[in-house]
Amino acid sequence: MQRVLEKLGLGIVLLILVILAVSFQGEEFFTWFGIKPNLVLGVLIAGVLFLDWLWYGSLLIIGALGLEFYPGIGMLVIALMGAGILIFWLTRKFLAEGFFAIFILGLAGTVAFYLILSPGFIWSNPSMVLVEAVYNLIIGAVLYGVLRYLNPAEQWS
Amino acid sequence: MQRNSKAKNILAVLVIVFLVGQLFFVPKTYVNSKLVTALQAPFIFVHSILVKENIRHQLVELQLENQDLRAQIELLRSRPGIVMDGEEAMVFAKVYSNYPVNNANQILVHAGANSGIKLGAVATTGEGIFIGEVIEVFDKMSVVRTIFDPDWELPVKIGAGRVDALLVSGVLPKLTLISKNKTVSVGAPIYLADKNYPYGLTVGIVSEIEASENERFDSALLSTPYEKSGLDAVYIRLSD
Repeated sequence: MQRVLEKLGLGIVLLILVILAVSFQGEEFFTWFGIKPNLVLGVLIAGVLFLDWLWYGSLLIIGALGLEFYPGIGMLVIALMGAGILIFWLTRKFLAEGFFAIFILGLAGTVAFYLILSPGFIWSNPSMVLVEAVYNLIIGAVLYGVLRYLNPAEQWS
Repeated sequence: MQRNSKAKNILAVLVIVFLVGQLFFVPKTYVNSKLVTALQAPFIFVHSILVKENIRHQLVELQLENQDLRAQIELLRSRPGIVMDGEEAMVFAKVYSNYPVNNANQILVHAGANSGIKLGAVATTGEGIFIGEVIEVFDKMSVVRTIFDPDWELPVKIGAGRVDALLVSGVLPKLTLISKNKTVSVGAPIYLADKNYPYGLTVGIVSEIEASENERFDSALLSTPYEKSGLDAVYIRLSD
């Protein structure tokens, strides 16, 4: 019971973070050197290391729908869903929890996102994708560090 | 003794006449008003409380009405409206949102096919500075591709000398293919010279010149008089 409540608390915190990330994603406030981080992906990278598939899947759907720019469901939704599923699969199959996992997830998630959304963008602007990946993994690492500090025992199941 | 009694009678009569005379000489209304006021005091007190309550109620109603009117004004302001600039018809459209990730730089605006917007329509600021073009049209909204969108090339002319250059869009829009024989100065205005758009629309100014001996052409950086993040509304030209 206590574990469920802990999971619920962590899930709600991450849900609020996803909503905040969606709200600020379109703003230039978080743009550094002309490159925007993917705040939603950053939150998901941290969340995938704590949440079970149900919570994580729910946050992924909320984040993807919130990120969409065009009316209806477009490529942004599909790209984020694809990247989100990839990092979930990588976490469960290959990676042990830790900052190294964040590094791999940040890089793989960002590249997968643009591979689905606009592969040409990766070839024409590789440095931009790389810098964004660094931003994303920094956001993921900071959130992971804070959440791990607040919930030392919490792990996905 | 008898005289004394007579005098007392006369005095008594005079006092009575004086007192009774008050009724005739002092205005009735004065007496009435005092009495009525005294009698009405409790009613006035209750009435004042009721009136106060009524005024408070009216004040709340007025505040609600005021809020409603403000909301309506805001709604009308944000509704796309046709603005005439000479003979040029333009749609004033509020910006919904910016494209959220790095592979494009577009804005979603609150005016679409219902307002007469077509693909390729030109979007400008209120001062007539070129922002971009409409690349997608929905019923009530449109997507505008800005000059910060990657991989978009536009022929332009720089300054009074109308020096030819190619504007390459991106996070930092760049002017390329500037002839080394021509003089371009920082602060010179940049005019659009693409046959698909109205001739002479201003795009921005030259902010920095990058001249290199090894290159066959000079290049320069462009700065815009508006902040792309601060764009709250745009004007979209309806005529071709």
